[in-house]
Amino acid sequence: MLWYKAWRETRKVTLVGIIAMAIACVLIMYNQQLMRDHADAPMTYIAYIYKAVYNSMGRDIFIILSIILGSGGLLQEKSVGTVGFTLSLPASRTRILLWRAVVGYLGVLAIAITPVIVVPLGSRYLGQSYPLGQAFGFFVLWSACGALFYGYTFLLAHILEGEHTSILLAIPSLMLYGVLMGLPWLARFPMLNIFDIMNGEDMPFFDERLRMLVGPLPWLTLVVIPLVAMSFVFTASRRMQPRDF
Amino acid sequence: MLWYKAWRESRIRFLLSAALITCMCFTFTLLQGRLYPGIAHEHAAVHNYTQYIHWTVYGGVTRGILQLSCLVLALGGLQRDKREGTLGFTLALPVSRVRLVLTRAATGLAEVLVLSLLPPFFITGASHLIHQPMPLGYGLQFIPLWTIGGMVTFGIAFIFSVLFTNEYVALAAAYMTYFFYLAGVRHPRLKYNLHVADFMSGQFPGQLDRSTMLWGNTYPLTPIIGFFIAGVILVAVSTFVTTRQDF
Repeated sequence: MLWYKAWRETRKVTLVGIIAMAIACVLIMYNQQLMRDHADAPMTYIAYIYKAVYNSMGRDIFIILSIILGSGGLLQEKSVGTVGFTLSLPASRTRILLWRAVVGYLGVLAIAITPVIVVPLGSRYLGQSYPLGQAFGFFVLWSACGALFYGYTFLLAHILEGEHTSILLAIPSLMLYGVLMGLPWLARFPMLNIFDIMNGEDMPFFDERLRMLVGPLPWLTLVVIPLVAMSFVFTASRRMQPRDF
Repeated sequence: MLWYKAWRESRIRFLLSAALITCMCFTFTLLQGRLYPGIAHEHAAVHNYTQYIHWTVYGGVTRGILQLSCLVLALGGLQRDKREGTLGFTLALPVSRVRLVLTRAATGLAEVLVLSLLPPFFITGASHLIHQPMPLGYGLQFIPLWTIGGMVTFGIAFIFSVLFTNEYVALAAAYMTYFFYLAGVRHPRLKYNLHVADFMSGQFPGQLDRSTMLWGNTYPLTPIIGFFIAGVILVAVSTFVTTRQDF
C-alpha cells in the first residue's frame, strides 16, 4: 500500500495541476479569435495553440507543477514529525522512496496528458481543428523532459531539509541553466537545451513556420533524459539509506 | 515576540532567497563579458549594458526569482501549525488571531523589502568592479516597484496559506492563480495595464523609456498606490478568513 500512501500525499497537487492545465487550455481556446486578431502577425489556429499552450502558459504550468510534485519526501516528513511512522513500516527505505517517485511521476504524466484530451476536443467544439498527433507528440516530449524536472527536484528534496528549499533551489537553478544555454559554446549542442526539446524550438523535428512537429522525434534523447532522471532518484535513495532520522 | 516567531519560521526561506538574488546579481554582472553576447543576440532590444542589466535583473530572471520568493515567503501560519500539531500552543498565546496574522504578514513584507534592496547595491558595486557604468540612482528607483509588486505577489500566496493545510497544495494553488492573473491581465479588452510584473520592471507608462530603458523625468505614483492598496486588501481578506476559521 506504499503506492496508496504516496497517492494520498500527492493527489491534491496532481488534481490542482490537472484542473489548472485544463482551465488554461479552455481559456486559451475560448479566446483564440480575439488573441489572433490582436497578434503582431497573422497566425493559424495551430500556431496559436502551439504558442499559447506548448510555448508559454501551458508549458510554464507544467514545469512548475512537475517541480512541486518532486518536492516532499522523508526529510520533509521529519519536520512534520511523521517520519518515525513511515520508517517503521515493514518496507525498505528504497521501496518507500521508489514508490513515492513513481506515483509522483504518474502525476506529472497526468498533467502532461491533459492538453492531449482537452485541446483536440475543445478545438472541435469551437469549430477548429488541432491534430491529435501533434498533441500526442508534445505529450511525449513533455513526459521525458518533465521526468528531468521532477527527478532533479526529488534529488534536491532528499539532500536538503526544509519544505520549500528544494523548490527555491530547483526553479532558479533551472532558470540559470536556461540562461547558460544561451552561451555560444553551449548553444552549439542544442540537444542539451531541455527547454527547446520540450517545445521543439530550433529543433530539426519542428517546423518553425507551421509551428508543428514534423519528422521523427529524437528518440535517443527522449530515452536518455528519463534515464538521467532515474539516476537522480536512485542517488536520492542511496542518500537516504545511511541517514539517521 | 510574535515577529520573532514569524522570523524563525521564515528565516531559512528568506536567507536562501537573499542568497539566490545576490548570486544572480553577481553572476549577471561579473560574467557580463560571457553572457552579454548571447543575450544581445537573442533579444533585439539589448544594445548596451544598462539594457542588459534591465533584461537580466530588474525586468528579467532576477525579478522572477523575487516573485518566486514572495510566493514562498507567504506560506506557513496557523495552517502549518495545525499540520505540525503546534496549533494549540500558538492559539493559546494571549494575542488575537488578527495580531498573529498581521505580524506574520508584516514580517514577510519586511523580508520582501530587504530582498528588493539587494540588487541596486550589489549591481552598482559589481558594475564598478568590471568598469561598467551603473549609477546607484538607477537601481534605487526600482525598490518601491519591487517592494509593492512583491507585496501583491505575497498577498496572493498569503490567502492560500490561510486556506490550505498542505503547504505544497497552497503553493501550487497560489502559483496557478498567479499565472492566471498574469495571463488574464494581458487580455486585449482590458483598458488598463494591471500586470504586476510589468509594473515591477518599470514597463508602465511614464516609467522607463522603452527604447533606452532609462528613467524619464516622471515617476508615476498612481500604480504604486493602486498595487499597494491591492496588497493591503489581500492581507486584510486573509486576516478576516483566519478570524472566522474553526480549527
